[in-house]
Amino acid sequence: MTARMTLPRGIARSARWTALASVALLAVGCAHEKPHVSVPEAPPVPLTYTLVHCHDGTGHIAGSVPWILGGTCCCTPTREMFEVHRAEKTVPEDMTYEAYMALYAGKGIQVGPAHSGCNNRCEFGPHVVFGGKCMAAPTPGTANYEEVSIGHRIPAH
Amino acid sequence: MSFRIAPVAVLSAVLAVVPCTGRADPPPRGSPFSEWFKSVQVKSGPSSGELPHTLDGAVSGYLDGRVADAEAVVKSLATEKPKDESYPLYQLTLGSISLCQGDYQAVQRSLTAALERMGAKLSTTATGLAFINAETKRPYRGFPYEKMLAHTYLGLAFMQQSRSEDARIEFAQAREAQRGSAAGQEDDFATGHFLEGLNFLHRKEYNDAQVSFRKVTELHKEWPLGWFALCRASDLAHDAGEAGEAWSHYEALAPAGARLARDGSTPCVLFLVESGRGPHRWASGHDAQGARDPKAGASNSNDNSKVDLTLAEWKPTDSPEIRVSIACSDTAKVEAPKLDDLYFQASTSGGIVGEATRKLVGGLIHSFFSGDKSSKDGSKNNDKNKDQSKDQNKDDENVDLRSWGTTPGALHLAAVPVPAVPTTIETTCSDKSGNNIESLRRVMRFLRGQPFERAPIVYERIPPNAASRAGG
Repeated sequence: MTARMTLPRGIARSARWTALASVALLAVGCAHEKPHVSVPEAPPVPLTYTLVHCHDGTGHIAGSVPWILGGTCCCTPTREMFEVHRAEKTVPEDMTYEAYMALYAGKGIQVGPAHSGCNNRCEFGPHVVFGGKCMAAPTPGTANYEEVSIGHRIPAH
Repeated sequence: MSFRIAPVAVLSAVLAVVPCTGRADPPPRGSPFSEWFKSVQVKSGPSSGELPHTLDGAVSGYLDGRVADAEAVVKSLATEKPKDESYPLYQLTLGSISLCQGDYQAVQRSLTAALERMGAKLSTTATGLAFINAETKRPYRGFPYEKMLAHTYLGLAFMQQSRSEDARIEFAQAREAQRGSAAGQEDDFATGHFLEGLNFLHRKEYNDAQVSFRKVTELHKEWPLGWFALCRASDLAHDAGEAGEAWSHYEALAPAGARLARDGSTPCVLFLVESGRGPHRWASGHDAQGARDPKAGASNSNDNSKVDLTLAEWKPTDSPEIRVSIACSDTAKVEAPKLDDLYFQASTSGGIVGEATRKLVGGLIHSFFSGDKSSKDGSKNNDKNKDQSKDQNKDDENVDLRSWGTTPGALHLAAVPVPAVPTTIETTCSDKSGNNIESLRRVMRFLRGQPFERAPIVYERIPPNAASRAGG
């Protein structure tokens, strides 16, 4: 015959709750546990510096369609530039310069030469190629200049 | 049995938590504890590297090449404290930062705001009231050299926005700001003259361009680009005699591989490179840390009734001198020689008489007020240590060592022949012995050369502390 030990009621109750809590904690702690397999880090993908967008700094790439018409030419839309586009047949034949500029105004895009020198850091920035409303020519020699040219951001070192 | 449940439960709970924290590998994603642990580590980690929320913190960040961090600090200072006596310094620092970021609109805003405050005409009452304060607590008015530099940068900012008339005014004001210096030393900022000449070329004002470039050749007889620019301006002004003479100088000085065609048709890019750290203010009779030199005879700070006439002076910063060369794959390396030493500009740009007068008048007024106050307090306070610390504070306040801390030590200029198609260009720096400083090497892509009169100007700042930070 074994003697049973009776505990005070408070202690017994707290012991039971502790046990329950520990079971729950164990479940939480181990639920996400997966065997860790060390995977060698993939080498970073080398950046390709291919000129995608032309602008005032790089000079116009012949045949590229204006940005506002879905192309990659971000050169300042001056009248002279518009004539270049007409000659290259990259704008509709019946489009006037005024109608062309109205497209930029309609989308709220700020263009040079009136709006320039901000390196797309103004209130309308970033550059249109990064989803902004600024199409000022980027400042040569800056990271933004290269990024606009290649069409994607360069990760910081 | 039930007696043993509690320790077991605690142990099991700990065991459940420990696996998540004790591993060398990062814990699996999704564990609430690990996510919290990570967030705590990020918040309290010593490597967060935030700059101190002060002007000094921003300046040191800028000099380390942490331009974006420095911008965040100084922008918030300028927004939080628009009435601060050092507000112009916030704006000047912001101007330097924006210049690095190629944002000439922001350069224009910041430097205009700074110059407005520095040149504000105060009423007699306001001027008198300012003198009651200690020197360091007075509104910052800047130095002739700083105003000259700020106007030059403003001119550059306007030029880069094709606002040549505004640029013309700023370059003229830059020359004006140098007034007050010793005869023969005024008007000797070659970079300013060169940029002004370029602006005149843009405006097709060739005779004025000749005047500016002539000044550059007087200041730097061995600099080929100055002669080339004078030749171009003279040719365009139909001054064949001066053009011919300038061209012969250019031919003699410029290396064959890096020469530009006389008619200006060689596509090129102009590089304005800034290196080193600008001069700083230093109180004569104090050591490098600003503590008063006990041997200095002028010390009279123990006597409150006397006026401390210690003047601050310019001191060159001991950032190492570097040589800058620029090359693209198709051309020979072009040296960008040091055109201006800004310590020289600061120390010769005058203003000493004005400073001494302000010091005397301010000192008399200030000592009258503080002396009066100290005679009332003197009977109550005989503690020697307190007196000493008070004197030290007075010393600190009596010498204003504030200055535009982000200015460069030297300005370099070069015109590099670059093809008229997008090209990669590399700038390299070497120390005095000719050893390359790898950490300062920079590659710029897709630059395109244009004829001299329309050549793009690329501004580059070589942060003075970047080489040492990178272990270079």
